[in-house]
Amino acid sequence: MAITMNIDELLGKYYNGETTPEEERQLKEFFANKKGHSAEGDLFGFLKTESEKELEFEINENEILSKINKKNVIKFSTFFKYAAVAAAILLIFNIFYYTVWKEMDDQTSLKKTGLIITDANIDKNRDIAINEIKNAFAHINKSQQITSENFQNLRMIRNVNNVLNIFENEQ
Amino acid sequence: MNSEDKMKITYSILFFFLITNLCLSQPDDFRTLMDQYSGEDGFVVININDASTILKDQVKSKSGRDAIKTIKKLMMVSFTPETVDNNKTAIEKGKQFYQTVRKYRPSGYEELMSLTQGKNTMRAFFKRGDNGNEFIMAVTTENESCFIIYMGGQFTKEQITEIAESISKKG
Repeated sequence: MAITMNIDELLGKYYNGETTPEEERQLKEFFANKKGHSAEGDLFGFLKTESEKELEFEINENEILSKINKKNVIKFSTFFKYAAVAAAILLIFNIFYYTVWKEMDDQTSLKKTGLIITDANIDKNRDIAINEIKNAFAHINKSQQITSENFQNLRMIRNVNNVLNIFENEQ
Repeated sequence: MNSEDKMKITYSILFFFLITNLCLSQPDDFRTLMDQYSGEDGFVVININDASTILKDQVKSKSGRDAIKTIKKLMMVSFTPETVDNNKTAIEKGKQFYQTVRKYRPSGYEELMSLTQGKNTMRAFFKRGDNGNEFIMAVTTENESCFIIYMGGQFTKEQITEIAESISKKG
């Protein structure tokens, strides 16, 4: 009788829209277990079935979403990891190529051996020829500098000797 | 054997060495050198008839460019030991060439300068001609690389200096 009263009260609250989710669950449980046919029984039976379905769906949906998210998170993080590593390798390779390797390569290509450069192949070997000739002119320039330095030194010695001669003559 | 005989023998030996050295120091013809080392490992041989075409872009100053225009024939033989790994034949040829360059003194040329400091030697030669002037420079360095360069054209000694300065400035 207490439960029936309670149920009646709950029904009243339900129709007034004042029930809590717990009270609604009690109503659903009650009408699901109640034998016999009633309008409320049908209603709450339907609601209970639907809510279970919804719950099941929610669970499945959550599971699926979590799986998807998990996969996505893993996928993205792995992709970015590999991309970052690849980018770093590429960057190092580029830096190495443009600073060390290319320079070495250029130097090697400028030091080809057994090469005969003539008018016929000068365009193809222009850089090597220029490098060799420039090297020669650098030596010519250096020799000029040394020669002029030596001339300056000789002039200084001559001037000193002249001064010494003057002193000697005066004495 | 008295002291006079000993003196005679000593002078004979000295005379023999003097003659041998003079014979060995006879300059090889430039073209012979080029033929001898063309295509050999470690060597670069250049033989171009209008050097000004490739050198004119190597100087900025107008006077330098004008001077470069006077160079026509350019021949060069250079040896770089770093380009020869373990090729014994090439190393031997390099040493042979090094000795030739070190002693190079072409006949009929005025010696403009001669510098020797350890393994570094620099010798410059100049010859005036009706059809143009000739300049030769033979250089050996500490790392046993060496070269001989020949230039022919309507240049003066001063213009050679001008070209050397201009090219070295840009380089």
